[in-house]
Amino acid sequence: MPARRAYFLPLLFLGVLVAAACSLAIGTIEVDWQQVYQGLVAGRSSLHYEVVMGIRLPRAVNAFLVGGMLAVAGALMQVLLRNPLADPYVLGVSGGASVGALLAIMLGWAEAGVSGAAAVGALLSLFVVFSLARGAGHWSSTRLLLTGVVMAAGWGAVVSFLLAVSPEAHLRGMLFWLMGDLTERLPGGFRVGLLALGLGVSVYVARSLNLLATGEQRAASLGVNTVLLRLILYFTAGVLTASAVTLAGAIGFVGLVVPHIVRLMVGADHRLVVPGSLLVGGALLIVSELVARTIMAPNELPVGIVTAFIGVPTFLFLLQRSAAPRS
Amino acid sequence: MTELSVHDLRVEIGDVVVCRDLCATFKPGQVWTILGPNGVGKSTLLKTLAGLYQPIVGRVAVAGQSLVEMPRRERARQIGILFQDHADVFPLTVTETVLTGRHPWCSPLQGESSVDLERVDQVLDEVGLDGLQDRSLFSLSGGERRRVDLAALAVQDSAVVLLDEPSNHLDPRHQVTLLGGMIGKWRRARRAVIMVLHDINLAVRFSDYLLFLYGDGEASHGLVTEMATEPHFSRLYDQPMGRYQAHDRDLFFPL
Repeated sequence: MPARRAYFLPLLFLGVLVAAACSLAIGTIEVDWQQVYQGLVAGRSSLHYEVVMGIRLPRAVNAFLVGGMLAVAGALMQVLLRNPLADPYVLGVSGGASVGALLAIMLGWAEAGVSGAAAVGALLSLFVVFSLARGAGHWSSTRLLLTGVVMAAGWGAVVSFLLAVSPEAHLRGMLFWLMGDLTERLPGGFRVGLLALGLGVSVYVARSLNLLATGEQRAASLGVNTVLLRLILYFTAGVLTASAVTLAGAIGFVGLVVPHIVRLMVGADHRLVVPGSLLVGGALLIVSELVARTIMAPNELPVGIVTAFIGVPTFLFLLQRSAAPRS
Repeated sequence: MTELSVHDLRVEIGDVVVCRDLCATFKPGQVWTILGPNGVGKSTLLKTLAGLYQPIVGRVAVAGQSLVEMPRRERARQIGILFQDHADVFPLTVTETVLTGRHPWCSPLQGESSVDLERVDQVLDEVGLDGLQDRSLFSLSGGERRRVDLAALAVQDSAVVLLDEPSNHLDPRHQVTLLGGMIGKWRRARRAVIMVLHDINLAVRFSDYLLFLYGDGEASHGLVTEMATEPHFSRLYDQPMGRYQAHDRDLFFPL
């Protein structure tokens, strides 16, 4: 077991690199490994540079960021809500983002405007749920979960309403946004910084997460400031989710299932689950993005559909395997 | 070693007054048991002693320092508590769970050292869970799970040990040898032990002092030899109690 733990993260990191390399090399336009290398380092005029640096690399980087953010947010949310079924969207962050984004699309705003509106919607939802759940001062996991779920349902109704009344011309764009789609612009340092910050905070509190998972009172009795810890969890998960959703729409499934995949691989110690989720989530989304643009080429599928197609069987396989009797 | 004391304590939960004007000193090497009918707030009082529940009036102090002024980490080194039940959400292993008891002694970024791991292995051996180190919590029986909690409390090495119904899920042998053995060890190590029990006979057997909570805010405490009588228990539980002597022990039972 200890050996397995020591190699776990390096192996996952290797997996991410392999996934990224495949993503750069494979696609409708044939590019061999040498050309990938040339595209990365050589002149900007060549076609290979355009394909590798202009399209595939940004999408792979975005995929890694979004997948990592959602998976870490999911792992944190499951501890915060003490519920294995929790995911980053359960408290309505993606609902708020969707409503913001759809409104912006209806108004014909440019892509930057849509992202901005989604960010506003997500953060608005985050603060409204927090204030309502906080109420008279208690915010038990149950109360937080109920508030968030109801809020998410409310946002869902608004999304349906917007889809129903929007003109035909905008519908396809809106649906693609809702299913999750990756852009071809390299992410700013801001997002990379957010992910790094989120990961840093999560790893710093990871041992406290193990305690919180054994009970809030017990964690408090062992010296954890549970009020502060839960605030940190809520806002770290919320901001990571908001950032991911703003960048790529509401890509489903990653945040729910990746933390469980990691737990099934290496156990429930959050010092491994948090960084492991980042790497597995990133790798899963890189591969999903690759599949999304190649499997029905030249047509492209929304990435969110592919994450489910890849994630569901993987998860079920691991679950079956772990349910087998111990040797 | 360190003593726990309460001064003019008034604790309420909902409409129940758990105690008022309660003064007591729990000294190193003493074993206390809190007894009382259902719903009088025994667990609440125990949580108050742990600093996890705030009294209306009065203060709880360990080594002369009030719990509210004490940094959490320091408090966790002084006071450890075993809760009545547990709610596991994720399947940590036995070792990982017991290691959480070392949390107050580890700095935030430093992992547990090999010394911590040795201590865990040693305690797991004591509670008879040797060989189950890598088992998931979800695969344990109720009694095994209880012993994991006891082991986690033991590695916390706190000066004050609080136990809420520690005999739950334990079979008679484990109640007497394991729990009795651990309490004896704590006593010899000059810890102050305070527990809540429903089993009067275990309480009489293990404790030096008994603290009665009557449910109307009244409380009384004293040496076991003074407190453990039929009239006292009959009044405490509002139920006629009898006494029976066998094997040099007093055994109490409801009439």
